Amino acid sequence: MSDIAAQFKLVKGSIYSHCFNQDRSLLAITYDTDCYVYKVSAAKQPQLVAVLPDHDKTVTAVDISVHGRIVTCSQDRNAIVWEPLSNGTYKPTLVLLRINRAATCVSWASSGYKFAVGSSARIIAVCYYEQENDWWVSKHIKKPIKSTINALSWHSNCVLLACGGTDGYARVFSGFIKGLDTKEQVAGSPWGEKFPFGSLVREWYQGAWIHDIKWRSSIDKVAFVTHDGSLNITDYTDDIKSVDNPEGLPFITLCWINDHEILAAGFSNHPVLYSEGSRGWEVSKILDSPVKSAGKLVASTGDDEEEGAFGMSALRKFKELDLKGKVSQQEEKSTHVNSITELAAYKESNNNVTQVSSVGLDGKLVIYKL
Amino acid sequence: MLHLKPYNLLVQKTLTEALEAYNNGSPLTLDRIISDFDYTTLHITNDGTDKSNLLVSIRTKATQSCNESGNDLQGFLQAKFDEVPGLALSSAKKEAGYDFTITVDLSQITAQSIVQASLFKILVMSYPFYLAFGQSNALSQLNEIDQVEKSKEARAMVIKYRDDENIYIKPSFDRITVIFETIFQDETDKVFGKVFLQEFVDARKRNRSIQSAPQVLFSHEPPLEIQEVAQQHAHVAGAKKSTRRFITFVLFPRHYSSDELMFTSVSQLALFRNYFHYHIKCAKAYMHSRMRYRVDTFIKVLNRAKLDEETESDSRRTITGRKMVY
Amino acid sequence: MSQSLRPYLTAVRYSLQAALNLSNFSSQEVERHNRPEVEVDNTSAELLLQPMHIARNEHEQVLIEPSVNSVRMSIKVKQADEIEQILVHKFTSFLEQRAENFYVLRRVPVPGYSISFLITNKHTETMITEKLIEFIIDFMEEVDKEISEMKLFLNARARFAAEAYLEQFVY
Repeated sequence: MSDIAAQFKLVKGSIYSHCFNQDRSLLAITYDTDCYVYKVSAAKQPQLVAVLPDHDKTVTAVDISVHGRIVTCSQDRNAIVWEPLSNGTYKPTLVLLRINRAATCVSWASSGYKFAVGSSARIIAVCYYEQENDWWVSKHIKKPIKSTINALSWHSNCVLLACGGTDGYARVFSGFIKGLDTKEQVAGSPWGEKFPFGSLVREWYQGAWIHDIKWRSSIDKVAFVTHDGSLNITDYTDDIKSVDNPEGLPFITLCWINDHEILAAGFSNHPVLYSEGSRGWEVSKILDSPVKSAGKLVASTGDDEEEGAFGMSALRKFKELDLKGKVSQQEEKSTHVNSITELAAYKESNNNVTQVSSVGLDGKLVIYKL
Repeated sequence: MLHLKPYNLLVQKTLTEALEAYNNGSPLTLDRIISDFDYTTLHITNDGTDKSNLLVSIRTKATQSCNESGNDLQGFLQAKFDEVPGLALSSAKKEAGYDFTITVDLSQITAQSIVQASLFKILVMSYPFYLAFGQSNALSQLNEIDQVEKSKEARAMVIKYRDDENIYIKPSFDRITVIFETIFQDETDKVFGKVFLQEFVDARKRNRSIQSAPQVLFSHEPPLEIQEVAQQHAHVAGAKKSTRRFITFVLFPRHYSSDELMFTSVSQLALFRNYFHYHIKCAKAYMHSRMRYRVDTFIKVLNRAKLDEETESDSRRTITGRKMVY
Repeated sequence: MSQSLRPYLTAVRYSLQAALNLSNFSSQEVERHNRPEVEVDNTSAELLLQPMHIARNEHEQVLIEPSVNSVRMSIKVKQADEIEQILVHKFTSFLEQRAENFYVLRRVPVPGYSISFLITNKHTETMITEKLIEFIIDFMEEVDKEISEMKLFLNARARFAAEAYLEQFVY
């Protein structure tokens, strides 16, 4: 299909989060209690180079900083920073999160010196490296968060932190760390004058659970997707614009393409492109959607290579009749067979994203072309 | 298998075997205990050392009440067995622990005798029925006023053939009323039983060919005919009152007008309770196998929901690299 | 299919499509636990979505209780008379004994209903949601059909047995 640049089945399970490094040579994904690191080369199946196994429970999120450090956080209340060594392996360092519930999401600031972790303990932990003791410490943002934090996003000034959770509020906090950040970073910001750590800069009530939230720093706008199936864009004037998913199912993740376009994806298994035009934000394109055409037999799709041009082997047919009671039809399906959990910009040119990578609950990595 | 046969198959088989063996010159040594419906046991043995004679004894729960309903159960049975060659009811050779014993002379018996011997239990239970037939015929001879009077006085006979379950027989001048008192063990049996009984009642009206069959009625409470008699037994039932059911058959003279008909009616009635409960159990078993089939179909549909396992990495290869077809 | 059944099943299908958007959600109350929030008593209100009742008539209804990581769906099957009550009860307990094979079946129905399903995020991750919904709709249709068939069969058998018996008396 014209929308797909590449697709790879990486693991036999769900991938909740993924991240490419700066030059797109390495890919880190979460899989059950481990984090897998792959070497990526153009058009070939990514090769597994490292497994990072130090978590006891499901790893919920992974992120790679500009310096190549990988941070993973999991439902066992821990986050670990992995330092890449020269021989290709990684050295883990436990982060003192001091939370007593699961960690749900993690995001490096663009400077690469600090990151924020959202958790089910109703706390955001902003973590930075303390040179004296050679470990990563955290400072907590508690008020007025009432429920689990689902998503975090740093502004490019490394101070403003947007977050959303199951209490229905999208908030912007200040993640200013004394000694690490300087006042120049936030000079002239339209969001306010002073930003002491943990102060609530803005808060918007949406009502439904917020699944993902992302900054567009160049125009100081923030977009978030919620469980009621809508995409909302707002800025410092508190002017919220809302668009609904044409299919009705909620989005789980979103990605800014350029200042006027957003790609969102979720429970419908395929992404939807929204554009801001003269009439406001509207659906402009639906990528990779299953076309319902009667009687169309697909000769071979990516994962049916074994059967060749004959469709289904006799053995497979009888096996299916026995187990399922009918022979499954070769249907046109979207590339992802289960929900898409995360979108990330893959290739950019002139401030415009041309390719977007996605992972889903079916264990696949799919790269969409725009 | 729709009908329950009145004769005991095992007794027939044993006697046939013995006869054959005797005729072949090598008589068998037998000592078999055979059970039948309604707490009945039959015992077949050799008569001492004499291999050409067999003893068949029976013990049933119904014997006592059958004895009480009339004067001469023994004589009745004796007459029945005298009809066929080779069988004789003997009180001398009666085995301990059993109610009646017949001697079987292998040199004399015929196929008919074998059938008669296997009908032992039915014969015991049929005694009260025959008494009733006699009484009914007698009553029908009287003049009209006396008929009604005497019918009301006529005593109902009881056959206690199982714990807490009885058959009551009340003769009248133009009919015989047979009332079954039965107990359902299970809650579900009760409901199924009700459906079946309703069908028994309606079958007469529905199907023209069996319009002349006996009339069937059922109720919770003891029918009027046997109110007094039933009260005596009420204390026995006690807590199980709610599960008691009374099923009434009304036999008209045409059902017992000839010997053959008498016998058919009696044997069918004696086995009614077993037939009834048997079919209830059959229905339950069928439901069970149907449900099991349904469960399988559901699981098949559910399996369609499972994501297909990727066979790429699972397919095995031979040493030269060729793929196993999967 | 009877006329009123089709819109009933369509309503249930769409409601299930809306409810079955589940995510992996770690417990907020107990550390290191991950449990279906709809089944827990003391869960926070914001994690539960509005329960939906879809009723065909007062004897047949469906209750869907969604939450962030699980959905509980209870069905009340039509039971017009005593015999149907017994049949439904037997059928549902038969299924519940085999709940392990069914993955999504709950061993005990929610009080007031004949049978309940519990679908968690684990199920939606390993199974195709569309097909799961089809299974449930199929199930609802089949149960009704099955109960009426069994009842018909029982009546037919009873009639046959009665006629066969009474024929004996007729010469």
